[in-house]
Amino acid sequence: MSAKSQSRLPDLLTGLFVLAVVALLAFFTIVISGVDILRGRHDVLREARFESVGTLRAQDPVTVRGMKVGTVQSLCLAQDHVIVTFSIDANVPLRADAHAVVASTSVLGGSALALDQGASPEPLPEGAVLPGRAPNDVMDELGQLLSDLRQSFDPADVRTLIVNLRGASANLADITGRIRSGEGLLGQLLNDDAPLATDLEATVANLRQASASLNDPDTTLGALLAKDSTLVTDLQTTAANLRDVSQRLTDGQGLLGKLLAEDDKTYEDLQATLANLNAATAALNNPNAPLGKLIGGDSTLIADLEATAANLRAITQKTNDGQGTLGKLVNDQALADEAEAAIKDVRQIIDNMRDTAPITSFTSLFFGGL
Amino acid sequence: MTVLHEPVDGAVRAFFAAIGRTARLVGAALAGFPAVLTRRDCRHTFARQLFIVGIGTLAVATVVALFTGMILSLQLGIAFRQLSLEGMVSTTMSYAMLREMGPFMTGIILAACVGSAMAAQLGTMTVNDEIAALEMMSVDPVRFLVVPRLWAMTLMAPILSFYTCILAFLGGALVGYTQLNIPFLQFIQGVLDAAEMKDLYVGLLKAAVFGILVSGISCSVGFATTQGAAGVGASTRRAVIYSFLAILIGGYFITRCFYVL
Repeated sequence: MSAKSQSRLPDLLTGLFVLAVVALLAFFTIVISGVDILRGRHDVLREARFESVGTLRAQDPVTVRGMKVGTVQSLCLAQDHVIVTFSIDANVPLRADAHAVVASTSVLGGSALALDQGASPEPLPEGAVLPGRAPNDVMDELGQLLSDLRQSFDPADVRTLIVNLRGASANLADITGRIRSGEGLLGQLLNDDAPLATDLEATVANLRQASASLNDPDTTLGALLAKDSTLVTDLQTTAANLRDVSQRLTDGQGLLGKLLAEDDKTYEDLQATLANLNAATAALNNPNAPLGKLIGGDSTLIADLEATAANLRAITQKTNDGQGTLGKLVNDQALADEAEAAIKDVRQIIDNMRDTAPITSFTSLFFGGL
Repeated sequence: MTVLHEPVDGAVRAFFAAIGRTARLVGAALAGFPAVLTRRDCRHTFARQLFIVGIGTLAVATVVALFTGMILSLQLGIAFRQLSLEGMVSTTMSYAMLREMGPFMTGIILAACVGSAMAAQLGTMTVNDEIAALEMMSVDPVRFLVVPRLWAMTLMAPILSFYTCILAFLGGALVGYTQLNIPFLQFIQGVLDAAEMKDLYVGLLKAAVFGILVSGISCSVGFATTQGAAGVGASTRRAVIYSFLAILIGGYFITRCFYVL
């Protein structure tokens, strides 16, 4: 390295340092002036009108939904209002019904201009002044509250209140002492060795197990709680059927419906029928009645009935075999036809006699009288 | 030259005379700026002083700024954590560094590193009658010695101040990330969000004023050196002390001018 180069080295280093810091300063200046080079943010100026701005000051943040999107640039007092000029990220949309509120950033003080973007489909026109809502003065409200409290409470009442509070405090100390020493329900609950705590733990374990069962779709209740359970479908169907039945009962349809209806006719009929049934069953139970004898196991009647049945069986057997007149009548078609013809002849004869009977009688009377 | 030599008796009179002498020296040096641009010897001295002020103090400024930022972040973090307001650390650091700490640290570093050297160099030249020799050769000592030094420090002080601020922010962000669980970029974003144009440029102006004060006081004390080597040592000490006092007092009044309660 030549002597000339060495003599220029300090100047070179100084120049590089100065240029680097100045470039950094320029970048810093651009960033804090509102233009975000990295994100392409560019701020625009807007105005809001307030009747009062409270503790809002220049350089306070402008927020949308809690996010900082700009800075309050200036506040200008007009005749009966304050115009707040603020910068805001141009990419933050504001609607025609947007408005501004002065919000407190902390209890200790500090304000921010909170913007409501609005819901109107129309965008906020360029140069439009946002309506501003007056801030809530926390200290003023607190002072008003204290004043109200002071007016509401008589000093004597305050003293009574203090005495009561002291008593309550003493009671609380006593209660906490008892709890700490394991007395009472709460004390036992807080004492790990108490049987109540053990029982409670066991109960909780059981409840946990029960809830696990409820979550298990293989169990009945779990199946009930499952969305796609067939059991639920069946229950729903059954419920629908019950609803239909109850509707029919309410409408007085069917026997049960009629019984439940206000009209007592069916009930009275049923009652009469039941009375008749009672009489019939009483008769059946009467050993002197024929059916009572049968039910009562009367041997004579049963024997007679058996004998009669045997005779009837023999008669019907003979009839089927064509024995006797009746059997022949039943089994022999020609005989049956002859018998029918004979019956017809007899009927004819009887009819003739019926027709001639008056004449015969009159003639007999006439000739008898002669 | 009456700006350089003005024997005064009495402590009070000497004090006010020193202030007046320094003010006149600073005024003459500020007015001599065209010489920096037009005269080659001045330009050469100016470039050398820029290197001494800027690069010569860079290492010290780096360490001081980095650790000051780390300490500040740690202490603020401990305080704000009790209120669950760790996010305020970056905001508070931004205000503190840009408004006060950056210029103040720069002034202190310049007074300790450069101002003392200036006072010692000019004091030695004074006791060795080199200043008188310059005057005899019709070379204006103010233009030849003071103007490049004062303007070099005046121009370099804001740059160093901004540099210390940036390094302090980096140190604070490092502590915020490692000790306070604040993401590095979130800390830097918090600093940028809290930074205001006024704070930045008032801070830079303050640093420039501190540069004028330190160089002016150091040169003035150096020129007023008497009694040989012991006097040079005393002048060096006085230059540093007066510079510190001037930085503190001047800093308050500058702040009072730009920030009203």
